[in-house]
Amino acid sequence: MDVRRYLMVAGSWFHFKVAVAFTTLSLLLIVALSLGRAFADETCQSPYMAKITSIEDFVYVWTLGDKDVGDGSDKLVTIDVRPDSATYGKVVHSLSVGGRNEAHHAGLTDDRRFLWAGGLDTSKIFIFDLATDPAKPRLHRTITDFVDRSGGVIGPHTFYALPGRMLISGLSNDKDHGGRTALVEYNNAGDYVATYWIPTAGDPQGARVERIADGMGYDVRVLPRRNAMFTSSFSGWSNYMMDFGTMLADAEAMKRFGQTVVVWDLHARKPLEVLDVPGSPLEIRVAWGAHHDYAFTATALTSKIWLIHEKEPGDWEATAVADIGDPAKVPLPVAISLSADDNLLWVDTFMDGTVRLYDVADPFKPRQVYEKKIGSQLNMVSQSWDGKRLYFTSSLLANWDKKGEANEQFLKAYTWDGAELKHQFTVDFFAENLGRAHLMRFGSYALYGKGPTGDRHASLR
Amino acid sequence: MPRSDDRVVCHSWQPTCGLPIFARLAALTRRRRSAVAAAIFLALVSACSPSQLPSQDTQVASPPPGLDYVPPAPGTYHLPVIQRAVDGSVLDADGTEHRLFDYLGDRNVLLGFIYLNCSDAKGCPLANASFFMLREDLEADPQLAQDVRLISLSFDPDRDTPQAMLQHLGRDYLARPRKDRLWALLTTSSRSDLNPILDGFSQYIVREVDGSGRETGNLSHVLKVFLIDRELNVRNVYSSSYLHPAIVINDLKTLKLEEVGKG
Repeated sequence: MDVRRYLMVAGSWFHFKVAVAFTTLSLLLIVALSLGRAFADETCQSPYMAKITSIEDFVYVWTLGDKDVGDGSDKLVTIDVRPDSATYGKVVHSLSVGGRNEAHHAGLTDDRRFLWAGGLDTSKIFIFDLATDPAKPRLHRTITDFVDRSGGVIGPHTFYALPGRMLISGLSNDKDHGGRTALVEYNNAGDYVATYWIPTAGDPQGARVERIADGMGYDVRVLPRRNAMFTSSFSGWSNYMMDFGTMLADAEAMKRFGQTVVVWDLHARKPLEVLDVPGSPLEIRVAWGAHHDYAFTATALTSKIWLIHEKEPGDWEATAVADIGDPAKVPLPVAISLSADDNLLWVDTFMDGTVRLYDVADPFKPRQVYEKKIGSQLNMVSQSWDGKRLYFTSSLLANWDKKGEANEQFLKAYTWDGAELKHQFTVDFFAENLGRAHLMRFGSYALYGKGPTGDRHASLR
Repeated sequence: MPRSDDRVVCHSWQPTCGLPIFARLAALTRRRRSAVAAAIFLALVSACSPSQLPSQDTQVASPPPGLDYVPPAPGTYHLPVIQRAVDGSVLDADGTEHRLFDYLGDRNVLLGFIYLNCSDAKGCPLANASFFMLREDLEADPQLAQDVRLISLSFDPDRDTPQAMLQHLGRDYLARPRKDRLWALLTTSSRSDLNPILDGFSQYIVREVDGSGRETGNLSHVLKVFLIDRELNVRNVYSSSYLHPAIVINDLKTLKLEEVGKG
């Protein structure tokens, strides 16, 4: 196809001039709209998702049940984060799902009406309705046959919105409970669509393998502009359900960690390249900039920031670009969060409970510019679109969290002024009889045309 | 209010832009509309993905205008069944009443939900511009076109009457019988007729209201276009990120190759 065919499709110079005029008008319009964009919502989410264009009202926390805390069940906890609210920084709702499933990650559908939350042990998926009352999510549906429907995938981890669908990365399989796993696609109604196994040495599925193809999974992210999808690799059920200390002493278990990032053809859902990223690359964060064809990940065991970048069109490369803390001390990097302008990368390390901030304006040369100890242990971080509000939670896995006094369980809220994280509030998840705080997602009344008193100011249809 | 987003410049769009693109398109002849739609489409998509225009003297596959990559070739991938299409009562822009399924089953269909007063540059105007482009491409490929139907279905039955749809988008619409129209313009007679269709396709909309609770007329929504095969299965859902004619055409050809394979 040729651009001239499109522009000259009407076949006359007059029409071409009309087209050019409208093009100019449209570009001016786009510039104007870009300047007028609002600064809100969480970074690092699916680009297909509806966005909050004002400050978030709620933080939803997918919380792992603890047998000695409250009802012992996993639950979705809603925290009010409206600064002018009488219940600011307080738990305003808690919805138990009954039982422990190794609650871990969760993700919103493209229209943000529903939050999907997974259990790594039972492989159950809980779909919460946020739209009906954003302050009081309700359980809409529970998927209990994920393993059977997916063809043996267990451990639903990342829930990533695609148009009309939810893409779920697994962690394991029901054959050997090791790390071989797949991506699984569901429609928004909660019905199974397809399974895409991660390439292995025995079945690379046509992908170019740099060194090894381990078939493992963890996170999934996309870069639609380049038709690219990325998956990282962690470990299987036999490891993530094992006691952390026992696993560290088990040499064989320590060999069963991922060493790859797979680059996929997003549209075809086909693996293209298996990149060598040793040390278990976990969260993937894709840059947003118009010419930023790259993503970051951090390796848990080797404590490095890796850059996944496109050398030539269609030819991706993984490069270790920075150490995180002292790798010899195994600080165990976990969640990372990239600012909306792609300039700053927050990195949580579990063992020392510390968050570090890297200047990644030059993605090949990250430079640590700040660090702060948040707690005795630290896992997830979520930041607002304007980068001014950050939320941290503590739990990693039931059997990996620290023991005794060091097992703090919290959500802590901070503001960032460009120089210092300033503490705003803490919710103690044990004192509140909730459990272990894990994945956070933002909510807002405005997404659904609602106000605090319900439909008083809105008509949904 | 909710906004679908893209990877790059379009981080968060304001809900209104004040450009009545549909009205301007309607004022032009069909050929002029096509040229304008092409220009608008290229402007919209190129602003969100810097295009690499094809070189005139190279035979190497290059990304089509407005796209940053070469889409996978037809038949080299599979489009899984995402969900079943749903039926409902609709009004054709020619004024006749039908079931939505009257427009499905005989051809592969692209169904997009729009409303005429939409002013979100990456919403309905983009969908509409894409459909104009698709129509041009399909008319240049009659063999493929005979297996395809485009459907624009309004989710604003209050204002988008059949007459309004006809006036805005279908100046030459009545020249062909309904079954032969490449692009069907549909609306519904009421919100109660519309809502089950929207629910069935999970096309969520929010009717914006002002401080006094009065509807502003803006319908906030995430753009979705549905590819529906002859067996009434949804096989793809396009957002603003990849509602590009080259991608859609390849998907349509993929479905056709699948049909040929089935015999």
